[in-house]
Amino acid sequence: MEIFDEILSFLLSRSFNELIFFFWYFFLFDFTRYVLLDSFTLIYYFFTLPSKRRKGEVARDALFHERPLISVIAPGKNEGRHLLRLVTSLEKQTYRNLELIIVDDGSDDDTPEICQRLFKEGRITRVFRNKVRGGKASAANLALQYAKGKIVVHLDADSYLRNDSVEKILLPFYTDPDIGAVGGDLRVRNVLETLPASLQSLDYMKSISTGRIVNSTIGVLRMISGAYGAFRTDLLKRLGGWDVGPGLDGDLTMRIRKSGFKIVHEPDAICYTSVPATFTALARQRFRWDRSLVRFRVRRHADMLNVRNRNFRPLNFLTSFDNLLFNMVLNFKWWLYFIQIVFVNTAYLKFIFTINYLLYFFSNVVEYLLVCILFGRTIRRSELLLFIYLPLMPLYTGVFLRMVRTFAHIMELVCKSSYDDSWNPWKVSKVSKVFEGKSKQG
Amino acid sequence: MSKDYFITPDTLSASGSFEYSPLQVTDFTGNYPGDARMFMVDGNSPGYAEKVCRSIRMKSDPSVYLKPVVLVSADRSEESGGSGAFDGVIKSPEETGPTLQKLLYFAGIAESKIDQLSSFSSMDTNIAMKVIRFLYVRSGSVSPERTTSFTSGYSFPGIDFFLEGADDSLLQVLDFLELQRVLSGDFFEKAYFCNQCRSAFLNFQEVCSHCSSSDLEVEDLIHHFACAYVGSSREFGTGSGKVCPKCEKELRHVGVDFDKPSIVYTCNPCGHSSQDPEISTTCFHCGRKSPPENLLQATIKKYTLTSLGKSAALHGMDSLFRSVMEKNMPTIPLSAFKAFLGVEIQRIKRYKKTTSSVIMIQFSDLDKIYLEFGAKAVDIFYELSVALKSVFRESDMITSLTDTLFLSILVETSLDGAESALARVHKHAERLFTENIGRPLKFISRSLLIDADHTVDKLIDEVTECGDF
Repeated sequence: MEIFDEILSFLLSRSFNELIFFFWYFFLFDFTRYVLLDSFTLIYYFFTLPSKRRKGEVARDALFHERPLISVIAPGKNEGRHLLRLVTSLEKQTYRNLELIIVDDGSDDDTPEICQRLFKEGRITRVFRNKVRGGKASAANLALQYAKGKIVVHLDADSYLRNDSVEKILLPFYTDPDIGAVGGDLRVRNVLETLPASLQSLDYMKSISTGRIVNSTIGVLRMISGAYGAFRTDLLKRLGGWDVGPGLDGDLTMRIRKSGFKIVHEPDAICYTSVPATFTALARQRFRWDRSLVRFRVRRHADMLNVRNRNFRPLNFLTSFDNLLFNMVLNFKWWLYFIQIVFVNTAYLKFIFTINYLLYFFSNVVEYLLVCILFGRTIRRSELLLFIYLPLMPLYTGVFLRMVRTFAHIMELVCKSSYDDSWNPWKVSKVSKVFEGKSKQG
Repeated sequence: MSKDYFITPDTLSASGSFEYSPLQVTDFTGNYPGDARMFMVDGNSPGYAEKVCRSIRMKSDPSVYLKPVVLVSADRSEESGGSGAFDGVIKSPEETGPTLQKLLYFAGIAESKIDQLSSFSSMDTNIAMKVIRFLYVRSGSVSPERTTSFTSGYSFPGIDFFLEGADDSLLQVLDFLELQRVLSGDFFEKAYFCNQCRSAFLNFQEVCSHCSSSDLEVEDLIHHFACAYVGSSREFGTGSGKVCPKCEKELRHVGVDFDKPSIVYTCNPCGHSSQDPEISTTCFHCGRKSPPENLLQATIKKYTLTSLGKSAALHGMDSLFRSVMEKNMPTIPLSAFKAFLGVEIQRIKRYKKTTSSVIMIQFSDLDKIYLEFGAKAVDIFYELSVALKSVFRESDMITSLTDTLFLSILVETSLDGAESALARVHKHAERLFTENIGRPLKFISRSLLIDADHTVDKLIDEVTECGDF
């Protein structure tokens, strides 16, 4: 209690300018963008829910009247052990006119045998096998090549869906013909497996479940996750499918936006996916994801920021600007803030860190409460128990993820290290590095 | 004295170093002489020699069908022209030289072996017996050869001509004989047959899993590394210069900037694509379509005559029956049996206190049971021997006079007791055969009380009087 008294007296003894100087980063950026803007937008969203539901009913009637074939594609390597769960969850869907296409991308375990068995049982519509791995993009494109459905739903093979998830993700296409892609709501499957998994679950609830609702409502949604997304097949084929990743899902989302179609998030289309269970695996994953920001949004889609571009669109500009500003520019700027606090305001270090921690902690609490209010129906008991990890979130997002992100950005800016990622076969990375370099020059 | 006969379509006059008489064969049903040392057949007319050979082999007289048949042809050699069906090839009937000498030597051996054979002409109407005897007279083994002349796809040179048709009956006969342990089989290869007509001529084809059409197009898939595009090779253009339809870059070399990760089958009628088309087979003979897993699989073997087979060749199929019976019901040699019988007669003569009996049991129509039930016949006879064993006591002595006729001394047994034992044998056998084959086994039996006035031979003659041996 003594520390709180000290903090209070510290705050009361500082001038307004001093308080701004100490806490400008939180109030100017994070609080404004992620607390205020999110809260207002979510409140607006909440009040639009009845209208959304009415439109959803109409869309549902149209969907079931037309009953189009939907192609569910799940490319992957060595994912055989997850396939039965995926197949079972698809068989329980409320929307049944599905074809399931599995692409076995060079598996060297018993995945081929599992695929064949499920195929022979009639539980998989089509199986394609590449004896040599070509990478996620080419495997998805192979499935796209032979997809007959009007809409392609891309899933990670280690995911599974709620029973109405496919139906929900299809509805937006029947509310607005300009929608080119719909992102589903990702929830963590292995919520309580380890501390990293629990922290990621909280992060997903914040950044995906609510964050993407906000972005979608504003019109600046920039990501349809590869783990669960639905796309118009004709649009996908016109765009040539996926390009070489990592970050291929974000890249595709940008290309869809640039072709003039809308991207929306559907929070009721819930997909459970596995997340890394250790901090090392998590760091590796985020390192890969964060490099794609530089590779695609800084290099490849920089034209979205060019107001003189023939295809310039304000919302596309805002999407890219928002992403680059808050995830890259301000990320570097935070280190300047950190240096300032540590080396300039050394005397008040204890108070500044503690107050910052408390500010971010309460922000996380607000965001968590918003999630619980909005998604009370679909929140699982294990997710409700996550509140005990809220005190760790400021350290998780503010320190751990920030450090990984900063390192990733530097490595990609300086060394283009994403092309050396073993996530793709080396032959693919080598060629795509040259290709993308030439494309930029051209 | 044996003669060599030269069979031609035309009438020829005898000349040369061999005594031969021309036989004009028109309908191939002529009476071939049993005194032939070997038959030489004119091979200059296409198909004639094979027809003559078949007609010889289909005779039931061992002195005819087992004789060597030699092809006479200036054009055909040992290695060509289906000479496996013949015992040899010579260029002309007047030929001298090592080939002919070898044939004459073989003819001599064949003749002596034929002379050893017991004459059971009724047996030689049955294919199994003819096969055994043919192998016995020759090398004792037969190897399959792949051929399009038989629907089974295999011929067994020499013994093919025992059958009229070109189906797989011979395979079934050989299989049956192997089960009887008359032949031993060595693996040659496995083969698949139509499950309707057992033909080996099957068309294997990939068919569409949707519409079962075989009109499938196979295409390589190309993966362009630069842009991750995957499509059929047709989409990248024909000819030497391939261009990616997505990024419009020219492909340089496989493995450098693109590869071919897999192939895809596309059905032209219905458009369905897959990597694993279904396999279907169509029988050329009857047209039946079936998946490969429904085909009949059989192991084709090279067969060799066993010692049991040699015995069967010499003495007939009945020896099989005796070999099965003796597994469970050991017999003593006839000489020992006679000695014991003599002792028993003397014992009864001396002590006049006791009675013993002799019984005779003879089985018949065994070959019909073999042909009808194949391997199951062996099991039936084994069960019969178990049934018989339960009737006899350990003190009873049993001998076989022939392969189907058994005698037994039932010591300390009255005539009534002997009759009662025979009645039990009849009852067991009747029940066993009626339950298994639907009709009783034919056998005759008799019992006699051993009299002090009997001699051994007289007693045996008397008890077997109603038998047929």
